[in-house]
Amino acid sequence: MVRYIIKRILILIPVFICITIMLFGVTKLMPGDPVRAMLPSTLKAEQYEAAYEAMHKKMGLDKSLPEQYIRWMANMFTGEFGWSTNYNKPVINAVSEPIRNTIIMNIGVIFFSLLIGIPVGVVCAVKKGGLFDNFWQVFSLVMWAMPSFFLALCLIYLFATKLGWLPFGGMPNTSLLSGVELFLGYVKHLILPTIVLVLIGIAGEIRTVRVAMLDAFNQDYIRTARAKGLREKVVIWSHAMRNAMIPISGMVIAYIFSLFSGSTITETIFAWNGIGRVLISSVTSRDTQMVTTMNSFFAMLSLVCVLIQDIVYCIVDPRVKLS
Amino acid sequence: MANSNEKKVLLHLEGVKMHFPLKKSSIFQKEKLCVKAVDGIDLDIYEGETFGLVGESGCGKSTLGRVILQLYKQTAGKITYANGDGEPIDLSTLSTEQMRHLRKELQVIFQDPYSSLNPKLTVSQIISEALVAHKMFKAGSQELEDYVLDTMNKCGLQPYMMHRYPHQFSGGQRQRIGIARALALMPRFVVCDEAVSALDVSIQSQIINLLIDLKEMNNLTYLFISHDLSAVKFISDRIGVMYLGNMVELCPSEAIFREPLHPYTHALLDSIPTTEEASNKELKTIEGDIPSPIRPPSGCKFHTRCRYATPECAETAPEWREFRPGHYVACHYPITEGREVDY
Repeated sequence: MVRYIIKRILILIPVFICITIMLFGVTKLMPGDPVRAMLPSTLKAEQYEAAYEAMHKKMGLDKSLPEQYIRWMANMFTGEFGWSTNYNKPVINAVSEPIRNTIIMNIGVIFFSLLIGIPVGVVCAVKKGGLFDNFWQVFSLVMWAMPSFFLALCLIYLFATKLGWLPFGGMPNTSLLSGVELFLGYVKHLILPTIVLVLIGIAGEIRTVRVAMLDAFNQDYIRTARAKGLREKVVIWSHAMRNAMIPISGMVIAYIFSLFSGSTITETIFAWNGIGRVLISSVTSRDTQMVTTMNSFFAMLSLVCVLIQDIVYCIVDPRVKLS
Repeated sequence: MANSNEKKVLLHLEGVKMHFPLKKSSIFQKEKLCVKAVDGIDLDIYEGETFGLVGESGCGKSTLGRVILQLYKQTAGKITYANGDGEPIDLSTLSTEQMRHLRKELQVIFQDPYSSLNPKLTVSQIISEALVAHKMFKAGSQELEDYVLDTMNKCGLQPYMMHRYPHQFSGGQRQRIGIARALALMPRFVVCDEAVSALDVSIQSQIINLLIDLKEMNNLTYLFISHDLSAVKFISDRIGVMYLGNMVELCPSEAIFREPLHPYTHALLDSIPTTEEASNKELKTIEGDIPSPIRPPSGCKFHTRCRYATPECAETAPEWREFRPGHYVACHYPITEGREVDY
C-alpha cells in the first residue's frame, strides 16, 4: 500500500513539471505588458522610461525564459509567489482570503449535496421506474440543464427581493460582527449560493449513483447475496454499494475539485469574495503572477485529487492493490 | 419406480408458471406479451434424491430452479416445501422476510463461478456472511473461523486461501468457493444451476464427485440443472427433460438412455458427441432453433421440429401421462421401438 502510494506520487512529479511549463508558456503568450500595467500613467516620459527599466529588471523579465521559469519555480517552493499588481500586495496575501471563503462555502455544499445526492440516487435505483425515481429523474434533468445564474437569479428574486428574508449577496462584515453574530451572518449569506450549488450538484450525483447502483444490481453476485438469505438492506448497502463505490468515488472527487474551480459564476452573482471571482478579475486586469499562482494551485489541487482517487480505488477495489 | 410413493416428498410443484412481461413495443399493441419461461410444471422432488433437469439453452431450466427458490416470484402455481418437521409450507405465500429465513435450508450453486462471487469480498467473508446472517455463529468468533476452515477443507480449498479474493482463483477453485458457500449453511435442498457447465472437463468430474461426496455426508437433495446429458446421467437418480417451459419426459436416469420415449429426448441423445471409434455415425442434430417462448407453437410445442409430427400434434397439446411405471411423457406418439445406439 505504502509502496503503491509512493509510486503514484512519483508519477505525479513529471506531470506537475509539464503543467507548470505549459502554464508558464501560456502566461508569456498572454497579450499585454505586466510592467506597463503596474506603473502609474501619471509619470513623465523620461521618468516612465527609467521606472519601466527598473521594474523590468526587478521582475527578472530581462533574463532568458528557462531562467525565468526556474526562478519562478524556486520562488514558489520557498513560498514566494510574487506581487499582485491588481491588489498591490503579495500574491500570497491577496489569495489567502478568497481561498478561505471558497472553502467555507464549499464545505456546506459538499456536505449537503452528498448527504442528499447519494441516498436519493440509491433509492432511485432500488425503486427504479417508480414515482420517486421518475420525480428525481425529471428533477435532475431540469437542474442539470439549467444555467446556474438563472437559478441564482430566481432565488434572489424570491427570497431577497420579494420576501426579503435573505441578503442579495456579499459577505458578512468581519470588522463589525464577531462570535455568534458573525457565524449567523455567514449562514445568512451562504444559504442562497449553497442552495444553487447543491441543487445543481445533486442533479449529476443522483444520475451517477443511480446508474452505478443499477449496474451493480444487475450483477450475478447480487443474486447470490439474495440467495444467501441476507437482508435486503445488507444486499443494497453492503454488496451493491461496495461495488458501485468505484464510479461514485470518482464522481465525488471530480465534483469536489470542480466546486473549487467552477463556482465562479455563482460566486460572482452572489458577490462572494471567493477564488473564482478573484481569478476572473485577475485575468481581466492582466495580473500575471496572481493568475499563474492560482492556476498552479488548481493544478496542484487536481493532482492531489487524482492521488486521492488512486488511493480510494485501492481501498475500494481489492483488485487494484496488486498491480 | 413403484416405491417412489413411500419416499418423502421434499418439494411439490403444481402448475408452476413463470411469465416475464415484456414492454409494449408500441401504444397500438393491444395484447400484453410475455416470455413464458416456465409454462406449467408439475413435479415432485423426493428427499435424498438427485433430480436432473436437462434441456436446450433457453428452455426454462434455470428459471424453474430460481422459481423454486423464490428468487423469482412465480406467475401462477404452488410450490410446497416439507420442512424438517415434515410440515408442508407453501413458498409462494411467504413474505420476503420469512423466505429469507428459509434460505438457510434451500440453497443454490450458480452457473457462472466468475460473476456470481462478489469481487470485493474475501473467500472467508463470502462463506461466513450468510452464517452470521442466519445467526449460526457470531461475527468474528473463533468458532466461525474454525467452521469456515472446516467447510473449505471439505470442499477441497486450502486454509491459506481464506483471505484471498475471488479473482485470485481459477474457475474450478471458484466453483468450489460457490459450493462451500452454499453448503456451509447445512441446507437440505440445493439447486445446482449448471454448476459444472462453465468448467473444463477434468474439473467437471472433480466437482461432480465432490457434490456426490457432500451429498452422502450431509443427506442433501439436489436439483441438478444442466444441458450436459452425460454429467446429468452420472449424478442423477431421476431425470426430467424440459422443452420450451414444459416438462416433456421424466423417468429414472437409466431409463432415459435405455428407452427414451419422447422424440425430443431422442434428438438430444443423438446429438451427444461420442469418442468411440466404432461409432462413425454422423451426429444427428435437431433442426432449427428453439421457437420463441413469447408465442410458443400451438399444440405440442415440439411439433415444429419433430420428425414424427402429425396434424394432430399441431392442434392438441399432448397429455402428461405415466407411460410405464415411473416413466412419464407428454407425447401423442411416444417412440417405443428400440434405439439404434446404446448409451
